[in-house]
Amino acid sequence: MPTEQVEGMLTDAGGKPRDPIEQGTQSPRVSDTKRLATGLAFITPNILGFLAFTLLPLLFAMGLAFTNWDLRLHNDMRVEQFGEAPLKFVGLDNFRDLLFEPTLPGQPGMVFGLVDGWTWNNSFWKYLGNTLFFMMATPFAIGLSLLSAMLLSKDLSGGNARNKRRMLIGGAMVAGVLLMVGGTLTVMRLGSPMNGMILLFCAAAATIIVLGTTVGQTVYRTIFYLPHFVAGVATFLLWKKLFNPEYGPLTMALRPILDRMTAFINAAPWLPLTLMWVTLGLGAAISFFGFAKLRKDYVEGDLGWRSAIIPFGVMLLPALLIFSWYDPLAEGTAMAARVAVLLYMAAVFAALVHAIIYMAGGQEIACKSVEGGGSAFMFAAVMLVGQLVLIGLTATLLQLPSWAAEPAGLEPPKWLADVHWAKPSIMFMGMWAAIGGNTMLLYIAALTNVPQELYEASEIDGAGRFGKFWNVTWPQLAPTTFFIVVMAVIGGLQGGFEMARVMTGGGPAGQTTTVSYYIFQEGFETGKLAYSSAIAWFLFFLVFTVTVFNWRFGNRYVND
Amino acid sequence: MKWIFLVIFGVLTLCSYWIYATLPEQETSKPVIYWVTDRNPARNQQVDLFHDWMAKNHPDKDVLLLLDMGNRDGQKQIIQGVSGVGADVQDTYHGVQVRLYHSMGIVEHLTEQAKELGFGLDQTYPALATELTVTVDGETEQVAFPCNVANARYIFNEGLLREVGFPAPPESWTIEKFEAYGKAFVEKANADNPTRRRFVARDIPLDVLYRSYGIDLFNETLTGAGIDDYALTPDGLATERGYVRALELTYKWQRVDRIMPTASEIAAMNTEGGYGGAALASFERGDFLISNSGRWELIKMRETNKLRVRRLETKLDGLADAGYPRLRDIWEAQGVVALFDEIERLEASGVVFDQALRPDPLADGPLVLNTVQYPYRFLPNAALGTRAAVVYTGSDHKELATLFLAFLASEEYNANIVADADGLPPNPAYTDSEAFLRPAEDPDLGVYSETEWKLHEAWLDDVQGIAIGKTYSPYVLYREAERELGRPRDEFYEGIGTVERAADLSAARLDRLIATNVSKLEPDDPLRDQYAEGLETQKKIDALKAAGKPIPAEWISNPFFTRYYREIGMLDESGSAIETPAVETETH
Repeated sequence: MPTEQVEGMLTDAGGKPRDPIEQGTQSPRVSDTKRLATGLAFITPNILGFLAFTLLPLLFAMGLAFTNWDLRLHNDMRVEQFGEAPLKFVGLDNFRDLLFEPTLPGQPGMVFGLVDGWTWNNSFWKYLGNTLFFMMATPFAIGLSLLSAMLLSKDLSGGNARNKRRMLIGGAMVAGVLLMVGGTLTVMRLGSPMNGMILLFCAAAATIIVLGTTVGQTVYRTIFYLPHFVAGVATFLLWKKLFNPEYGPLTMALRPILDRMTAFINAAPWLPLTLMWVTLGLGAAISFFGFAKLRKDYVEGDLGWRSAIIPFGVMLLPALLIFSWYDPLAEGTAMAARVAVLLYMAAVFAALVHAIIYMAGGQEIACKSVEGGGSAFMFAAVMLVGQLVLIGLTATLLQLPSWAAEPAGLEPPKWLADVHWAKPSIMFMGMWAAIGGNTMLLYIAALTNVPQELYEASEIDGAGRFGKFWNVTWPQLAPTTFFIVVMAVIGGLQGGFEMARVMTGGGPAGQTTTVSYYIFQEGFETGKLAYSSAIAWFLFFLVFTVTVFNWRFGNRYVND
Repeated sequence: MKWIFLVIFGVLTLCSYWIYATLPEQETSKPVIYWVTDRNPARNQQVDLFHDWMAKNHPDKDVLLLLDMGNRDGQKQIIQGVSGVGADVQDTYHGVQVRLYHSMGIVEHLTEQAKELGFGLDQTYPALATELTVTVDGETEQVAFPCNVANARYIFNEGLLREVGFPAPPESWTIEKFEAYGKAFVEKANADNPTRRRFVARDIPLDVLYRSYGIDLFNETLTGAGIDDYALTPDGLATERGYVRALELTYKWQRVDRIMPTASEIAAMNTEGGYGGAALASFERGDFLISNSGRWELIKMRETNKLRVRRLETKLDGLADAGYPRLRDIWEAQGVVALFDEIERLEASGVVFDQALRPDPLADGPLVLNTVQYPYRFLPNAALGTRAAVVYTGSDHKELATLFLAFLASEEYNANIVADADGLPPNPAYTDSEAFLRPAEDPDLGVYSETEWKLHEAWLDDVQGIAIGKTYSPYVLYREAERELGRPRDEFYEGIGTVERAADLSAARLDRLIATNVSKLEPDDPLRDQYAEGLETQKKIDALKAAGKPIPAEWISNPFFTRYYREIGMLDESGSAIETPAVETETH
């Protein structure tokens, strides 16, 4: 029995401290073993599951990628019927076939014909291009989910003081809505489905507003998140209906608007052309801003000269692309397009030359030549997306008067059935999903954690709404944004399978086939498992590289 | 927490046992075989018929046949098949799946059993042979038997013709006549209807069109693409590129002449759904005059007829009250065509009907259908397919599964297909009957003579006459070959590339694919030598074609060309290969 306690320690009769195990401050050895065994017992199923269903298949798939494994040659059922077919180690052949393919008759080899007999694998690079194109929607999707999260963080309920009265009004409105639904059904039964649908839409909107006013933001959050309760395939089928090129709601809604636009543009064809110069000017301004920022980073020692090469190249891409789309010297190019392209290219090259001349003056603070490459690349990539969007808008505005002058006028796109619209349609759907998705939830959670003191301090400093967002909210959300970007990039590279499978079958003309759908096609439509594994591992390599890149360079923004 | 885990573990164990205990195999002492097939209510009836047939013909063998409609997807069949857990009997579509599954070793060879049990190739249509057989070590092996025959042809809606006031098409037509008819039809059909577009035909099978020019997906020796070729024509000239012409024509018909809907317009017509589905609704309401339909679409048409007749009879009751009881008598005694003739006669004589009661030939009464051949250039032809059953090599009850295929050749099963209209019956012996050719009118089933009587024999005649199955090359999967064609073709339709580029690129890619596949074969694989010999023979054939001379039958491996050259009188069946011109001669 313990007799006394010295400095929190039990002692025996002789005053010597007792064994810690006996004191109960440390478990006995046997207890350690027991606890270890219990812990292992709990995690063993998980570890076994991971080994059996994740790690081993992964390693198996990796091995597979270096063989000629084909379901038509290698499976147990076939062995029974046709005998053993040897499984061969083929080295990097599958990866070679993934990246390159033999040239067709009359087709030049790679690198301007220097590598004879081989050219880039048309299918794979196109599908990788499709995947990257889809990922261009990521920044917009993130921006929209942040916007929705900020809206849903506001207190939108009626407030306590007038709650009762509002509840009363709300109740009356609900009753009105119910009457409207009844009316809708009656109208639809009487053979006017369009009017019925409009009534129903108004009724639904009114219900949401009523509920939101009386109950508060929870209603809106729930409604925004509702699509995520629905299985993906069901959502895709719904969007397929929405994208019906003739009778879909989107087309039906656009048609009267476009009819009016046609009349308007035909009456004032100068307007889109004027707007075109505005968008072109904005594109050039982005270019100027981009080069100026890179130049500033270089001078201030945040960017080394070697690291500057790729971002500068990326910033130049839009100018080269616009040249390839509208060759100003080609016969038949419209005069406005010629002038626009030449002006844009002149502006971009002027910005480039200006930056180079300025940089030739040397750095104020010297840095390593490979300093800051990642940050500069990410910045240049964002500038690239912005420029591409504006160039696309410019090209559209340029064509608008001629499209409107056609007998049919401006027509709604054919959405998924149109080779040019299939990808943007799916991106549009993806953005819709992102607005109310998990990204929004993460942002809502992050917004609740922004300390109010910071907003108060910024108010004292005289910050307006935008100032508070830019100087408080956005920096405070940086870790969340970083996490979202990393996950979105991974998801984007791996994505597109369900949409291609359910909505388009990868078409038209392979426009919506992504790398993940390509893996499925090769593996399960034709049985080339080894080749399919090679694609999957290449995709893994890509995802891994991009993620490492993100962690390596993206973290800086978070830590700043 | 550990107790929660234990409880969950216990509950899951119990659930697993419950699922195991309630498996059909556990509830019966009979051997259970599964049939993977499509979702069709008639399958339950066919299962009952099979059990009756077994009791009658094989009373010593107990079996319980169960349907598995959730695993019909091709990828599921492959994964389950190679994993050893496939269904005992599996439906496949055309030789495309039969060959793919066979190459994976999941399809049983049945030649001997088929002869013994009476479901050999002689029990079905000769044209289906390539869809049901494979070649193994130079020997032809039967591996499947049809559940039905899925051939389509052009069906037109006489109700729409009556509404538009336009004459019926001829029984058969060339491409030029079809185009002229189509233009005239759409001009008249859309003259007073600016908000709605009516087309002459919903679509035309591209392979039927280019085959009518005398070319095929593969060349004569199956060693390369045939779609970029200039076909040998009846006058011994090789002047037209069939695939190019077919693409040009379909593009022109869809985008320039507007006699057929574009892909997006078809998508807008909402063509999902089995046995016609919404495409049938679109046909019925007159979006297009001609539908590319198989006999299986009668299943939905019969259902539609019931609704249409109910609508008609309601109007006729109203007209009877309005003083025209004779119209109802005419409908009951002479049918819907006579009824509308009478209505038109009355209107011509000055009678004005209440518009709410006036029967609409497009919407009221049974569909009045007729049929016309696909338009053609040199060779009238039709597509041929089948939903065929195969026996899974991993089945524990192969014998019983094989008996199911014997059942497919039986009178009981074929009578069911005849009555149910789920395609043509697999065994042609059961088509020579009134029940097939002229089924008795039955308002309860929606069977009406005006809808069906002109169609059954036409579908049958196609299968026994002009229909040709797909062509399969031993060097490439059909699906892979098709994929090489898809993108360039879509790009042409979308205005990205020229038609010549589409043909040349497709052919070049297909040739490359075949060459790559052959290069990956084992050095001692006999296909290598066969391919090399085929290439040599192809050169000789190309030289003969360029010279406008007949092609020796023994040089040709592609059954389409055997048929085509025979039809145009350019097949040398003497058995002695003639001297060939220099092989360097260009084909074109």
